[in-house]
Amino acid sequence: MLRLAGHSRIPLSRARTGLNLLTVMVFIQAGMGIYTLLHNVPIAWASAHQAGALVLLSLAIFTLHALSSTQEIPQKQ
Amino acid sequence: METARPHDRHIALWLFVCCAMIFGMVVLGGLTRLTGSGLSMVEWDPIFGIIPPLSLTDWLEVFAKYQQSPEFIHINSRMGLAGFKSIYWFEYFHRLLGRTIGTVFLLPFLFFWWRGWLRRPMIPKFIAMFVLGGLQGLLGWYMVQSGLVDNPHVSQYRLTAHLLAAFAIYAFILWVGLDLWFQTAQHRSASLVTPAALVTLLIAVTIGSGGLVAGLKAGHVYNTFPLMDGRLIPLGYAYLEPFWRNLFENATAV
Repeated sequence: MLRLAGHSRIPLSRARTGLNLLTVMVFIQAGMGIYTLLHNVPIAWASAHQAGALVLLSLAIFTLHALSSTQEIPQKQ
Repeated sequence: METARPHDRHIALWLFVCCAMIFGMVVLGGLTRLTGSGLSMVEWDPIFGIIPPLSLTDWLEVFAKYQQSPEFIHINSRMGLAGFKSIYWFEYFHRLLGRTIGTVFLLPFLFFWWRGWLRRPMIPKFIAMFVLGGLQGLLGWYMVQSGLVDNPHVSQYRLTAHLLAAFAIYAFILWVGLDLWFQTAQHRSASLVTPAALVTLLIAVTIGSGGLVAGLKAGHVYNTFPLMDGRLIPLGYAYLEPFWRNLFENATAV
């Protein structure tokens, strides 16, 4: 998918990191959800599942941001 | 963003701190809901509400108000002052944290603006963040109101709206923070059908469905996985008319 992007100015390593973390987090979040369900919604797990959702969203935003960045200005020294 | 500015990363850091605080706010909000504390404060006073009950008299006064509410009458009638205090504190600290975030956002913002560290075109974005944050408080109260009338059940729609608004504000602040941190000059013309955008949208929809689950307490109807009552699609999935109502009002379907 990153090859299809084809634009040499996308910060590829950041996008790749984002995608990997996102993939891992999906599994963690699904796992937490199933655990929460099977144990009749214990409060700590339900709370963790909610926090996990926000982590997941953050990773998606981070990845989306990286993939849609076309240019970065070098820091002036 | 035409040129890099020396304070961009400081401003980004301030935004990330606000994001972290919003994260805490979301978790506290979830815990308030999970502990059945969301209806303990039956009034909203945006300014003076910052002062909690202090003396025993204050507590008895506030407890008396709660005792008039449908939740006390129908569900918590055996709750004593000690139990009330614990649910009150959850809701109180949730509201207090909200006000704190508003302050942590506003004061540095005014400082940065005064010092000229903010790019002109970005100022409306920061103002929007502040206003949206304030509106979230109003939305929270609007949500609580739905649980203070005859049936002490908070509307799952208002709950989900309050949740999604929080995540949207968070995402907005995070995005602007990322722009400043990475000095992003420009974004490619926004096409919403890229895979990444679709995944983000899917996550947002799933979060919304999570809000409906919480609002209907749907996590308690079938505590098995992957089958529900021995089936992939349980009976009672579609007992409401018209069909679409099931997706929002039928705990089984949700």
